[in-house]
Amino acid sequence: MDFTGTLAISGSALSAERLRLDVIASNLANASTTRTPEGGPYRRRNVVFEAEPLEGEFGETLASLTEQGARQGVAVTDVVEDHAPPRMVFDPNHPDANADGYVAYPNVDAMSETIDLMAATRAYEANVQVVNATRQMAQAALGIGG
Amino acid sequence: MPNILFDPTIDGLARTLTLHQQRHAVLASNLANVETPGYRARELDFQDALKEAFESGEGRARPEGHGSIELASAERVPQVVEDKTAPRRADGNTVDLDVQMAKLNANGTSYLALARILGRRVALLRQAIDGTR
Repeated sequence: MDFTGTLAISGSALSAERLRLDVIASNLANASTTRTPEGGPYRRRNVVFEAEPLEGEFGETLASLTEQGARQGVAVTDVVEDHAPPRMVFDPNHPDANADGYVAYPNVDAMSETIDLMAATRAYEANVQVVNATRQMAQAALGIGG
Repeated sequence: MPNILFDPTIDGLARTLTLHQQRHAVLASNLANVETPGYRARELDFQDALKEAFESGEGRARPEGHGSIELASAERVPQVVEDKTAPRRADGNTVDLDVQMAKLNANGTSYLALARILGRRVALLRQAIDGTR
């Protein structure tokens, strides 16, 4: 019985989605940040998800399933900056306004961040369901002959 | 007298449980990668493997001839195939959340049912050994 491997798959998805939620949260928190340590306005960040095969520690049958690419967790391999141009707002009195009186605001779109937020939440919930199903199955297996 | 300790039903049920568990892992991978660009949904060739778990050895008596049925295909590994029926999203991912959740739940429920049946079967065996209720 190898339910721990399945739990590892779901666990990798839960932490990946949580990291994605963190990134979305910082995008929304910095939607109006005009100063950053690197200079210029905050830039929207995005996560890169990559399927990641789980290796080792399985029995032979399951290892062969792994070879077939059946057991794939997920990992956030990178957090990249969005290179879309900043939003220019005319506000000559702002301390960060340029010579023409425009202020560069972050390229964060609250609408699309909210949609990402919903997608991440749903994906997280789906994986919690998988964990619950795995737990139930493991309990049933332990109950055989009991 | 057939040897009840080598009950083909128990063997078949156990193998079927393993298949369900392997399919559960495949479906869990799909759901873990629901947001991974380019990921293709996978599926176990479940029906064929199930059929084989129960039927392939049927009617073939063991060499010792104690009457029980031997189940072949013990070493058989079910194949993992790409689920080609699923439509592809713009990011190249073919995992449909609803379809995968439905499959996961159906698979899990049937696992629970099989585990219960197997439990009953073992309980019967124990009752026969004890000779009591």
